Amino acid sequence: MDVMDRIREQVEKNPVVIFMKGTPQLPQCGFSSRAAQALQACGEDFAYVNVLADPEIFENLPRFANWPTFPQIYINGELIGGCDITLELFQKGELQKMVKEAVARAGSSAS
Amino acid sequence: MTATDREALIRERLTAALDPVRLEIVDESHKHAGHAQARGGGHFQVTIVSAAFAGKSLLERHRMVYDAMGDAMHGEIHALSIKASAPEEVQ
Repeated sequence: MDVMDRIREQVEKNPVVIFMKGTPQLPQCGFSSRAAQALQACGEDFAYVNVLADPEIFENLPRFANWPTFPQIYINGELIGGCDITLELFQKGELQKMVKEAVARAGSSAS
Repeated sequence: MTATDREALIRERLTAALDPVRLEIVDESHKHAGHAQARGGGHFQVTIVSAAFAGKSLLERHRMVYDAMGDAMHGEIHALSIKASAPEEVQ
């Protein structure tokens, strides 16, 4: 599968997905670590892609949504932003709402 | 390119594109030393206040900053931590 299709598949099949350096358990970058922690604090399951383990995604993700840096967080198939935006939304209480709604929506359409 | 050169590059590009009323750039590269993709530095914290951000979402503001940085985001600048505000949002 083409790398852009692989990225699109991750973004579309997961209500919440973070493309990050490392994993939520073993993040390899402070920005990725903080963004993953904010998602964890929302209390719902979320998917992650370790871009360091997938050089093709690492190289091509920046042009997928025209966003140059990692991490990248997608909710409901849309880019939310990187670490700063994710944390800002979390502090405002908006991220929690967005994550819960996305997970609930995915759950109801799957059943 | 030294950290001072990179800082000057950020200042030049953001000033030209966004005409900020306030622009602070802090080199945070030391926080990421030894990081596999750090390529010797290039992490900066940017606090920017510009009328261009009025009425724009966070995503749009960050994109405007990245667009202004252009090709530098693929070379000299590894990552930016961005705090972008419109003048009426800050005192």
